[in-house]
Amino acid sequence: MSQEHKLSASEEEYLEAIYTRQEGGAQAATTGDLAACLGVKDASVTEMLKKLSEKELVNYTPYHGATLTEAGLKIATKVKRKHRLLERFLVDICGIGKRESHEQACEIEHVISDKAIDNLSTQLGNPATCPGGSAIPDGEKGDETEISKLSEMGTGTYMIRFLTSPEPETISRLCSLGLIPGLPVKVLRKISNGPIVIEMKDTQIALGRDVAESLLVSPEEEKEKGIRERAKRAPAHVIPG
Amino acid sequence: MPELPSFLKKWKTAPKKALAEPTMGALCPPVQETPSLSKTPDTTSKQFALMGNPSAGKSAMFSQMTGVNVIVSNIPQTTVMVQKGLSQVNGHNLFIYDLPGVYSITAVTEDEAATKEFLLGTSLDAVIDIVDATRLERNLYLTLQMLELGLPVVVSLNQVDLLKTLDLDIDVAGLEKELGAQVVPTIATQGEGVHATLETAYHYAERPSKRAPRQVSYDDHVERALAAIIPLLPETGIPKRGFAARLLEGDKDFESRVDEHTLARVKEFRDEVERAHGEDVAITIARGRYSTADLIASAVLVRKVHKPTLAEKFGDMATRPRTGYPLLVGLIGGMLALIFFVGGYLSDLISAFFEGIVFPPVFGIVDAHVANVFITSAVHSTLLALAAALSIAVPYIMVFFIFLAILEDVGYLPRVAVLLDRQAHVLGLRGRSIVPLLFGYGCSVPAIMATRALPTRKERIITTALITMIPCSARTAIILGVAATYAGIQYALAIYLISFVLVIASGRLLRSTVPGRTAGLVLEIPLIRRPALVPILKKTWLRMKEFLYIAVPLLIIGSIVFGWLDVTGLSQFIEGPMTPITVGILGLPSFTAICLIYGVLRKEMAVEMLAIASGTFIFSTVMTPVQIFVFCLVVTLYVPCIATFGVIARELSARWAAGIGIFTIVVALIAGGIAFRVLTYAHW
Repeated sequence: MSQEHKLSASEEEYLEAIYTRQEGGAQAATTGDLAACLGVKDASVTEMLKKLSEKELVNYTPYHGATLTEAGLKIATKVKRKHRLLERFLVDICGIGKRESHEQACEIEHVISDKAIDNLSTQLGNPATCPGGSAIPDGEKGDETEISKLSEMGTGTYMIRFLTSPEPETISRLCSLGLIPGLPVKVLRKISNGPIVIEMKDTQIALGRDVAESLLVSPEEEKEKGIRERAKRAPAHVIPG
Repeated sequence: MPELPSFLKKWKTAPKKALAEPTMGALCPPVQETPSLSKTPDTTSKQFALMGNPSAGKSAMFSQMTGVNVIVSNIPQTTVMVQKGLSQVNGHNLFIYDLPGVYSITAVTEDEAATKEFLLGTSLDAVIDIVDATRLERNLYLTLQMLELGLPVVVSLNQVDLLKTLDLDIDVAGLEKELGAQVVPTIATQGEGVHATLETAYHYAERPSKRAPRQVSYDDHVERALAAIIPLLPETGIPKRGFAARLLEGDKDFESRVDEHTLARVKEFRDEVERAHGEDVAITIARGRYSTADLIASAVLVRKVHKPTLAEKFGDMATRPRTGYPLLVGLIGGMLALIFFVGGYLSDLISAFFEGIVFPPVFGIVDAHVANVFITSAVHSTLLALAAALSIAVPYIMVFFIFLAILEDVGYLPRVAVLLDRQAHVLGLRGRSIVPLLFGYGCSVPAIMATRALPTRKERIITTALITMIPCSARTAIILGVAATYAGIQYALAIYLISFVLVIASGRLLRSTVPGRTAGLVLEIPLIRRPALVPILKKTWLRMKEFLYIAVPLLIIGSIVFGWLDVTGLSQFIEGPMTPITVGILGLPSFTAICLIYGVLRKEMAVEMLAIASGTFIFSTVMTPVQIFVFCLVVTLYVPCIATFGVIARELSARWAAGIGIFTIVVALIAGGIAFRVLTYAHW
């Protein structure tokens, strides 16, 4: 919290922009991407990324780009939630166009308080998506305690939420094995200070401690689990043809 | 950045029947060709490639199809080369390429880049996709990627025998329908369904099916972007939908094939999709492919209530520290004991056979009837060399290879990698380096080749350097066959301990001196399989064959030359200059000089030549236990053999080969010198 207050609007904008590029994992946001997205010069992007990297909010590799750290992700998620809820509010209640709502949301998101946005969300009936169709991060459950590194979790089933790593190859390797956001994984075993053995899609995979740190997960909700398993079970007993 | 090949030009426009060598870029490893391949153009011959996830059973399938010298194993990423073999169906030649196992057609690792380049740059009549039936959904991801690119896919649904033990069942006809591709159930390790796969692929190549391959269903944003990109694409022979998806996800190989304008438009669409999803488009696309794979898998897979089998429990035990470490120690101890007792027993039998039955009559006749000393010397040398090779090296090496083959086929080795990941960090490595290091106990050459699957150069360099210091089976033959037998078991254990400590110390040193970084561990753990006798014996034979065909002739020639040097008295000119080292530093008899030189050719030759130079197998009659110990220690540690040098020079660089050579000589001389002095002092 205290850290968040120290951030300027433009720092938050950067975190938000990286989040947009990276929400759901993906490779790092490159300097060029960010410059184009925020309409600033490459040099200013580099400077800002260094600054955010010093605050340990992003992992920044020159020539490669930036990914959010856990702390950075928390702030970015919060800002993004404000942004998308505000868009919803501006479009649905104030009757403003989508483009305009985006621009105004960009301004308000940095000054509106957490409490105000939570109340707004309740007033709007806790909408799931913004007018553009993107998911609005969950306020109560998307809170600090909910998302944590896989390396810190005990045995049990979790849902992958984000992939974040200073090394883009790590993310690519995880993706090609099918470890993408939205996938439930089961932690079978942890070797003290050693790798974590997980199970996904009938396969056991060992992940080094450092790799497990790049998987941000949340405990799988019973409700979601039930729906998915029912969905999975249903067609499994029907043999087509 | 290496220039990308103009694969799209060759794509399907090249004549189908052409037997032209595939184009390979700098990244692509050389095709290993077997001498049996006929080069005669055959209009009915076909070119097939084998694709699949690591450990899906590709190598087993390849060796069943071709019987070529390919080492089959259950370890992800051991097939690091593109190998070519010949097979036949109804008298038609089939050329089969075994591609490295990959999880997707991207270009993250060297193996993946090589595979992608090969697939897209070669005109293939069929791509046989080995799908691990026990991990259907994950394996279908790769299948869908290939179908998307319009590759002529025939699916080999492998390891169907394991489905039963996992209480799974797959509706094969349903899978064919879902994929729009032919599916043949197989058990590659037992050769079942292998011929059927080849026949199906051949018929497919003759008359491609009219069925439309399964399309990946993406989400609305991606679909809209694809629909908009497709009209912009040129005619290339690759399905436009697949091409568009590749462009959208930012595949550099495809981006280089379209003009600036198209690229700019694609970027706009990409931004739009990313804005809508708030995530990298590559992830959105991967999700599309995975959810399609999920749909197919859940439509054809029947799950029953499953209780863990004994094999699964064993697999879990091997990765659980409390049970895993004792198991590992027990296995290594058991292996050494087995090598020592079984190898020793065989060794005794063979040397008794030579000394009792072969030598007396032959030497009697030759010595009585031939006057020329060069000829008598050559006959003596040849037989001694043969006896030395068969009695010292073969038994010990063979027992080790059988043991290693069992551990490999069972699927135990990747579990060791998981168990020892933490310890590997001490050496600046990750768990996956453990497997090449364990291979190093067999033979350094394939072990160093296996380091290719490691993701960073730093890891490759450190692992390679350490492999050269690990006692390979030739050195085990020396340690157990000579040091343990003639000096005492405590000396043999001391050599293992010293080499182990030196490996750790060198690893620590290299960790901080070799530049670069290491990447985290991501390792698929295969299912535990029951080992089958025939594949294990086959694998052992393939590994022994190299030894018999290359090492034995080398040993015989070396032995004859040695005999002649002795007859002519020239050996003094070699022994003389080396006395300061052999006698001075190491306290060994001067005749060991030549043995040490021969040891560079092949490690076990040092001992075999020792038998020839000293004229006896009973080394305790010509050397003291301390001398035997120092000799074996030095042979274990000093320069890697010539084949290892070659492979290091090829895999890393000549400079690294030279550097590692010098480093190990220095280490060996220091260790040998200290051991000699300490032990001599202690004995006084």
